[in-house]
Amino acid sequence: MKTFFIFTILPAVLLADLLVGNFGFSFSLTALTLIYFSGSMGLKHTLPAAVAAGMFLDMCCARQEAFSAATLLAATAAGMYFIPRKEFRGSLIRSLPAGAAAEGVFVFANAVAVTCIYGKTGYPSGLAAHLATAMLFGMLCFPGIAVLFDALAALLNLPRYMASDPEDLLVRAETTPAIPVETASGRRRRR
Amino acid sequence: MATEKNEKNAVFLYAAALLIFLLMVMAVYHAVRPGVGRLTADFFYPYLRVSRLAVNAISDRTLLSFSRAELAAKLEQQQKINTSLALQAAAAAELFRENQVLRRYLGIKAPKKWSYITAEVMLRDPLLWLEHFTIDRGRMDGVEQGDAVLDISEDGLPILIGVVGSCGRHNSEVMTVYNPDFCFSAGIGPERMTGFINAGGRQGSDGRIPVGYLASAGTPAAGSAVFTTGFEQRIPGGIKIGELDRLEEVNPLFYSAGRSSGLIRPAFNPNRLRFVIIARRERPTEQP
Repeated sequence: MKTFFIFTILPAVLLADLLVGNFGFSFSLTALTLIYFSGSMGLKHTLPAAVAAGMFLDMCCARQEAFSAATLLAATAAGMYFIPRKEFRGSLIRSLPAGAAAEGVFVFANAVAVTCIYGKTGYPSGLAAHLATAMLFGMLCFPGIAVLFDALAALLNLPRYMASDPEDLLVRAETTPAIPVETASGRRRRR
Repeated sequence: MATEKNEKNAVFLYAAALLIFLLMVMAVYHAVRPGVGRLTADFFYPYLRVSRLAVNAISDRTLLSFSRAELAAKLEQQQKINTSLALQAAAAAELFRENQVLRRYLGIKAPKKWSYITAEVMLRDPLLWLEHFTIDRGRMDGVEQGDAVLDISEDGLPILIGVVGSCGRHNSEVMTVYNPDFCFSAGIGPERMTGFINAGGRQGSDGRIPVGYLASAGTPAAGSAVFTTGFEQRIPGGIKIGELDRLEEVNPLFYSAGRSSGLIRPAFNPNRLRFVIIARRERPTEQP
């Protein structure tokens, strides 16, 4: 069901990315969605989705080299860095730096890839402003994405990002309960 | 202690495996792209078309946001342009007839004939915004690899955008003049001094493209118009490419290569692309 959910959501998000790309914006809703998937359903499901999404984007845009898979993975890793941190209380608060970091890394990694592969010099000249805009976009968009997809996941009784426990994030791929309950020790656990 | 070391090794191994996997993905992509790339785009054609429809809907809504007075003024302006273009077309037709008569008297063969197809820009790549884009015409519409892609400037003259880089059944990828892989000849200034765009080892920057292998004897002034030469089989001659931005300053006392390079500012505006024209060279019909 998780795979079905991921591969149903992902084409819609990729379409939105292509739509935004037609206006010249290189922000990635896909990167934010992948952080959501990794935060709610674990890395096991997210990694293949990231590679597939990256290759699909490269194919659609007729790029000579496939670098989007790598940049999407880098963005997901950057976002994932903030999700398990205890300094940020609450899933929504955690999602602010996660979204900003993911978009920032995505834009920066793309700039590096485009410069290295194509020898293009124009893109990095406005990189600082683009980076700042992308990070702001990620910070504002990721909480919205999390709320929206959580509502969909709740309908399908799938694990939700908001109800996730940061500590067991990386080992939750196999059996993730959907509804958080109080355990005997008083700690919030998922059933 | 040993557990900690094992964990570090595991992380290192996972990272290495991921890196190898990504390199394999890139290698596989590189190998299959020429054949499968356009096929994928054909398969996802309706899906990709949806994104364009959404963009067009937004664009049309923006147009409707103008007031009636503004729209009427724009319509009147457009009618004036159409009238001017119709007069130019009539004059060109008269010249064409005269040219045909003179050619017949002198026994000169008729020039290449071109036919034109309009296409809509279907997909833009935000990362390589200037270098390439996808249009909604393919082999089924008679488009072939290497066909010239043109735009019309505000004064009604054709300008070169690029050529069709690869062709699918229902869509094609266009390589623009900004694409470093697209090298072609160009004539600069009234003397049509020949050079080669995207050649000569110079890098383009800030919306300018390099031109190389120019004869250093002639020095066209900055701002001189740059046109296609017609040397290429599928690019019509005399189409404006842009204007010469600057030439490399060469001291003839210390430089004897006999050639120079410069930068060109292309005429087409990559931010205003919606419709393009594909120029196809008509094949000679077999005589019975």
